[in-house]
Formats: sequence, structure tokens, C-alpha cells
Amino acid sequence: MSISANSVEEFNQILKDNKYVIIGFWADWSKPSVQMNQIFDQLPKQYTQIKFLKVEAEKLHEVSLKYNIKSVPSYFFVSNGKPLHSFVGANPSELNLQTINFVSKIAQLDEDSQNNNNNNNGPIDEETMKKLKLQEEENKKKLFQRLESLINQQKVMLFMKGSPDAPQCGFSRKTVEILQKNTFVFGSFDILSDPSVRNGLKEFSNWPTYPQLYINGKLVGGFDIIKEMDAEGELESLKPTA
Amino acid sequence: MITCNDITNQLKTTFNDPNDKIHVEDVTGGGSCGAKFELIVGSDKFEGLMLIDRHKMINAILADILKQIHALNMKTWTIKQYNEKMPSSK
Repeated sequence: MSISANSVEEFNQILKDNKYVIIGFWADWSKPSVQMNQIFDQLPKQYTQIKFLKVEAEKLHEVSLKYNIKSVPSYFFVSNGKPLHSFVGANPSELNLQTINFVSKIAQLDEDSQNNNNNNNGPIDEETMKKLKLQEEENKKKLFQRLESLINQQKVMLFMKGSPDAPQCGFSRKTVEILQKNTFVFGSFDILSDPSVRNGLKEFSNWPTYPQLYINGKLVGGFDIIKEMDAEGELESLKPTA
Repeated sequence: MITCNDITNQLKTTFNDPNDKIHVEDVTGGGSCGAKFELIVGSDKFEGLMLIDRHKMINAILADILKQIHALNMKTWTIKQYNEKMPSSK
């Protein structure tokens, strides 16, 4: 799990005690930042050499000012109290990428300091780095295989927020309505129930939002596209023959 | 802050044919979560592409801008569609 700082003093202490820290600024009113927290919480398992520190931006106003936070989520990759890099936005793959980047940078730093003073401080050797990367790729391959089989589960598959009977978002609801109006028989998957599918499918299909409609394993589009195709009378022609 | 001009200029890098049509409107309004835009692009570069591929094309062109705005609604038409559908087409 990641840790949280509840006061400025606590924040400063954590940065003092830990060589490598990734700070994630969030706010309870920003849904994307709260969702990113779920991903953030998963990272410590993979990267035990780094502290993952969550900061509620508005609670620790002083810290937010110091880091010049303009929007949440924002992430800072800090080595010995100094941010090496940072980025803004609810972008899971960017977080993964920059974390991997950070890991390789600190491996380099550790190696350098070891060469200088023979200080053994939990270095990450190249072998471990390679292993981490391989594991990352392996996980992704497995996830994509799973997505492939999910989108082909039925001829028509809707990946949505909630279920057709209880949609959790207006766009998902309206998409269900259009499909039902056109008497489509379709399966559905609730992406809110599975963050790995939710994030993976965006990358897999290069499409940033939900709902996503698949027919014969091919992405047709989101609500805007389905609405437009329905209005043009083009949707009907995509209906698979039973 | 992203403006309509930023979006138009970015689109022009790809839709550079004199016949290509680009309209961008800021529809942010009050009480919303962030900057919202609507755009209409008319171009024969869309000829033969599925809607999803047309939208993906726009998403790719505007990738950097999309990170900074909340929502984008788009119409991606061929010139023929544009002439048929554009309300009070210029």
C-alpha cells in the first residue's frame, strides 16, 4: 500500500527518511485523481525500493504551494528530496512509464554512489531491472490476451459503466437504449468492476473513453459514434446475422 | 488555456487542403468540469474511413491538446457529407 501524509511535518519527515519517493497529489472532488489512487496503491508491491506517498492537495496547502500544484492528479518523482521529473493528469500508462523510468534512474544513482563510497544501500542491478521489465511485458501480454477473449465473448459486446439494467453513467445508459431500440442482442462487461480491464482496454483499442461497443471483435465506437450511426441508419447494417 | 485557435491550427497541420473545412467552438459554459469543445471537420481525407477511424485520426492529431481539456465532441465528414449536413453552410 501507499502511505499518506496528514500534516506538513509528517510530509517533510517522510521525504527526509526516504531516499526515493513518488508523490501523488489528489483531491476528493476529482474523480480521476481518486481513481488513479487505486493504481497508485498497487505500485508499492512492485517497487519496494520506493515510497509511494499520497497527498491530499487541499489539505496540505503549504506542500501544494511548494510543488506549484495547479491541477490534480499530479505526480512527482523525488530523489533525496529533489524532484527528478513530474507529470500532470489521470494517465495510468504514463504513471507506469514514468515509474519505470524513475526506477532505472535511481538504479543508476545507486550504482554511482556505490562506486564512490562503497555504500551498500539496496542497489538494483541490471539483472533485476531486466526482470522487472520482462515481468511488466508478460503481465501486459496476459492482460491483452484476456481482453481479446472478452471482446469476442459475444458477437456484440458493450464495455460500459454498470450493467444494461443499471447503467452508472449517462453515456452508457444512452448507448444501451440505442442498442435496445435497434433490437441488438448483446453481452456487456462492467468496467467499473475491473480496473485492469478498464485501463487495459483503453490502450488495447487506442480509445480513451467508455462505453465501447465491439461487433465481431472490432471496436465500432463510443456513444457519439453510435448515436451518429443510428441517426444515419448505418447501425442496423452492423447487426450480426444470428 | 487551450483556445479554439490552438485546436484549429493543430488540425490545419493535417487538414491543409484548400477545400478542407474546420470549425471549432468553445462550448465550456458554466457549471461544467472543464473546457469543452465542439468541432466539425469536412475533408476528403475521411473518404473510405469508418467513423471510429476518423475519430481516432482526430484524437491522434490533437493528442497533446486532449490531455488539457475535459471533452471534445466531433463531426468528421467528407466534403460531400459536409455540404449536405452543415447547417447554413458557408
